Amino acid sequence: MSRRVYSEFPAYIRIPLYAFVGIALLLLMLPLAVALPISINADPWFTYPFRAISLRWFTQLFSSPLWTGAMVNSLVIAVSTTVVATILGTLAAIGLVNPRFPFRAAVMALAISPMIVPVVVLGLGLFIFFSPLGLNYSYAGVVIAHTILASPFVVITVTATLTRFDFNLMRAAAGLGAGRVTAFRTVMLPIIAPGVAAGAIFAFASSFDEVVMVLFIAGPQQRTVPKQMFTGLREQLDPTILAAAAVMILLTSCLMAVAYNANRKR
Amino acid sequence: MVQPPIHVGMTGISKTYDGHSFVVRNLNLEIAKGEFLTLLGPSGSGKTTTLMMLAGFEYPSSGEITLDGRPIQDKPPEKRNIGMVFQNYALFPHMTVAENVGYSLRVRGLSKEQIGARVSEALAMVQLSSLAQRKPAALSGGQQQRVALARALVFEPSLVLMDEPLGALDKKLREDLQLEIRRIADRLDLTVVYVTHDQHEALTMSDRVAIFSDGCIQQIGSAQDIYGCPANRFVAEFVGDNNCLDAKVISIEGELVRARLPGGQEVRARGSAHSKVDQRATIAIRPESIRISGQARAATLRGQVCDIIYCGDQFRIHVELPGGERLIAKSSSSLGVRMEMGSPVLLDWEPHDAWALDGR
Repeated sequence: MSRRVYSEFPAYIRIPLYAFVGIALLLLMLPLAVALPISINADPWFTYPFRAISLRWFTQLFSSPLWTGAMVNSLVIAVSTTVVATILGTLAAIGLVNPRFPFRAAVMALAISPMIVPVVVLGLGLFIFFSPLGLNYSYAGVVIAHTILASPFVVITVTATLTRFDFNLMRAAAGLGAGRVTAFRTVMLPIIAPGVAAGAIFAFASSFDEVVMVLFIAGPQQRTVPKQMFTGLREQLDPTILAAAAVMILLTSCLMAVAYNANRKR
Repeated sequence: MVQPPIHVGMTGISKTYDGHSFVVRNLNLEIAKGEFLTLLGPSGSGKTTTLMMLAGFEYPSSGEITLDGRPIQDKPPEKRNIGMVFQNYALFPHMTVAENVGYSLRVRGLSKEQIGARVSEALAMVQLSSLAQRKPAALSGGQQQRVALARALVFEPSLVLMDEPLGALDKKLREDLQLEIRRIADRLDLTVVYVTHDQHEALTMSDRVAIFSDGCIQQIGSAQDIYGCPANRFVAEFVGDNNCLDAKVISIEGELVRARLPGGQEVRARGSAHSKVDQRATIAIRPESIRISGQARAATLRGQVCDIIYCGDQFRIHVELPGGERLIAKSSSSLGVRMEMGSPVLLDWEPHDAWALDGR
């Protein structure tokens, strides 16, 4: 298959195409470009132009126990969610690529439904469901809630990787004496690792900036950065929120870059 | 002569996915130790399913599989200690050649030194020592197949299964590897079950060939048996070229029968134990056994040339008989040049070269 190079297209197609893509990207970036610089405004106002530039909001972010506690919570919950969602999602994907899986299409639809169902509905449902179980206002409850939202990302990325996986390799491994677990660990996992890693990063990101579930399920002990930002918006609006946002964006961008590089090396 | 012991036994094996259509039907097969058995048949004939049941990747719906006299059909593949070579090689792409070959030994927990020694021995056997540190993607198809072979043999299984291992290679390479596989199998005294749809491969490599069709073995025997003495019309048509003519037995003369073609002409052929007068039969005669001439002799058949095809070393002459049947004869001489389309010819053969097969 020969790939068409864009410079081969005639100018009357190429220029509008570039322009359209440029505008679309700009639309995605513009809100960030407007909001983020305010985090280095020396004054506590959300207005341009700045009178002076300072890192005081970042200092405040990292010195306030309210914010540092929220950051620790966010990381703990996101990492736990990532581990649980990656394991569950990978196992689900392995089962769901098997054409003999009963009611495969229906189960697949169910597995990725949390991406489609409104989170408010899920959150309310979980809140009611968790009450008799005592899972509201607990770390476990928040991790379960986030796992529900994060697993579909893993299912989708791992399924995509597995469709290119040659299952004869698992037969070959079995024929050479490897049990199922050994064969999975030594043959399948190393080959599908990029898909699993990509799914894990999406899972992390989806938990790390999640706010709706947290508003329903989390108590004061489980206050995460997005929840802190949300309360901050209502109670004491100052650019610390934007400093927190900048840190979160930086962190997730780094993760994405790592994943991109890991995928490219293969 | 001492019979070698039975290594693999399949008794009353059937395989069905839906309960009524059978992929393999009541299969009975005994494979001797050190034997090279080829399962030959068209696709969908059940030969690969049979191999997969031996390997443990498919489970028979009924019947018993034994290895060295012990039933194995309930054992998972990883406990069977059977070597397997796959059609698409199935090499692990993330491992080097040496890691691929050593995989079975690592899984068995051998020490690094033992693994290293046996891997280099196996790679030397397939002449790939210099490529040990390459990844499979950096190898040619033939080299990948050699790695797959070394990987299947390094843990010293006594039974090796091969599923069309040379299917993806070009002709020259395929012939080289055929000889090499046979040489290695003989040297290590391996029992090999080899699946192919290439009859030349089957006839040149095997001690015995089993012809599969419709989930059943149609005939099993040496290459000479299969080629020279087909058991039924399917085998006659599948292995090599054969002219098959519908006929009716009119008399039996010792081991020969005389049969009448629909056009009224009479031919002679070897009969079977079941041949009966007035029975319908298929007369099978190979193109190379037919003598074709322009002048009258004690000829058996008259016909008309309807096509002459030049094939380099020979001519293939298509002859139409008065009853409408067509025969193909081979002629290596310049005779074909002198013949013309539509010219009448006389055909005959040694009665012992033709077979009268039961039924049609």
